Amino acid sequence: MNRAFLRELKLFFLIPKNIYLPISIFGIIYVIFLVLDLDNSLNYASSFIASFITIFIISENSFKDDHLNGYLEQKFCEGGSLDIIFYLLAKWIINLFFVFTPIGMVSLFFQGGEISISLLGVFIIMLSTLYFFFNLGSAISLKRNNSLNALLIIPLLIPFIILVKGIFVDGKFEPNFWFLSAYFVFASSFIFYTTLEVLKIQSR
Amino acid sequence: MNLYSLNKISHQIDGKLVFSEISEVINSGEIIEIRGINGSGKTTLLKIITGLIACKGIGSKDYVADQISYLGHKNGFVEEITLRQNFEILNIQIEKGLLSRLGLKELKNQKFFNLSYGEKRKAALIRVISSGKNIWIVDEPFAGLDSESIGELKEIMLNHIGKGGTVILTNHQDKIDTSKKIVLGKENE
Repeated sequence: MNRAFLRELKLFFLIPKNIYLPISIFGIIYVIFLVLDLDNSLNYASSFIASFITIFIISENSFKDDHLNGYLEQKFCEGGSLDIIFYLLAKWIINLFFVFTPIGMVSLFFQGGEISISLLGVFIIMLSTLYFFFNLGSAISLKRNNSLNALLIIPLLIPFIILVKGIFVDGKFEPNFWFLSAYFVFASSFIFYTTLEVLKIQSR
Repeated sequence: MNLYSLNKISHQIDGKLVFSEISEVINSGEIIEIRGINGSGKTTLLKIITGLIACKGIGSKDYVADQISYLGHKNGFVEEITLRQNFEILNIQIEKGLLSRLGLKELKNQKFFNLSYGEKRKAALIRVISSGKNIWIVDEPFAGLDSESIGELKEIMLNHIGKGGTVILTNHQDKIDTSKKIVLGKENE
């Protein structure tokens, strides 16, 4: 696990686009919403849409480089599935700290001026769930090099969008938060495992 | 020590028979050379041995999976960073003198995408050599290398098997005298 984590951590800081791409995509979309000067009640919706598109775009290339340069094939041949589990977990943890948390903090700061820990937690769970789903799309479209397959994942996210609306737009924290957490568990287990298997098939 | 046993293995891709009835025993301390023309299934057989492609008729000891260092057609290195950074992110301790021996010492601080095909291949081979694993499985290790580097690499491989290691490789260039050969299809002589 340590090796995988250190690789992802060092790669994150060695390749500048990993740092500026998520923040700049999120910033640009958010600024567009600011310019549009939408109603205050749509504040949360605009940050959700900005985060959604950001995670969609950064997930598109989650595995592309490692597939093209043969790293994934090596990992499957050398360490089998366990190494790839650590690899996927390491990617998620790095994104959790350096992408999801900053995006969550920026969103909450611009919405209310203060950062509530519970809302930040919801934001991070929300972004992580999106990340797992879009990673599956990214794995499916690995050899075809287009986003079409990734878009197929979006229908799976409809219940998730309803729950997020319940929390952020309707302001009903419970029971939506618990359903959202259940959806996160589903994404981090079943969708995670499916991504692993799809990557294995793509590496053959 | 017996590592793998291939017992009449056959493989099809999209209904086309790639190879059939391949039987061999792979022991530690051997170089196994898989030979054959393009499209004869050399790479596929390597992937079957590693377990990436499932196939009936192959048996292996439980401990071998942890002992594999694999290099396919692609090098597994990140293009945007330097050679030194690539070794660092993989936490590889390179054997002293190995970089100079393969002519890469002066290139450590070059971005990986600036290296030539042969230099990239040598860097990837250094990863396998320095992995500390006993079983090296490499696809066309000599492709793109100059004759001097091929000589060095053969010497390193012989040294590895001398210590009880195993090398399984595909090759359609000059044969390795001391290797055990698996020939797929007809080979151009």
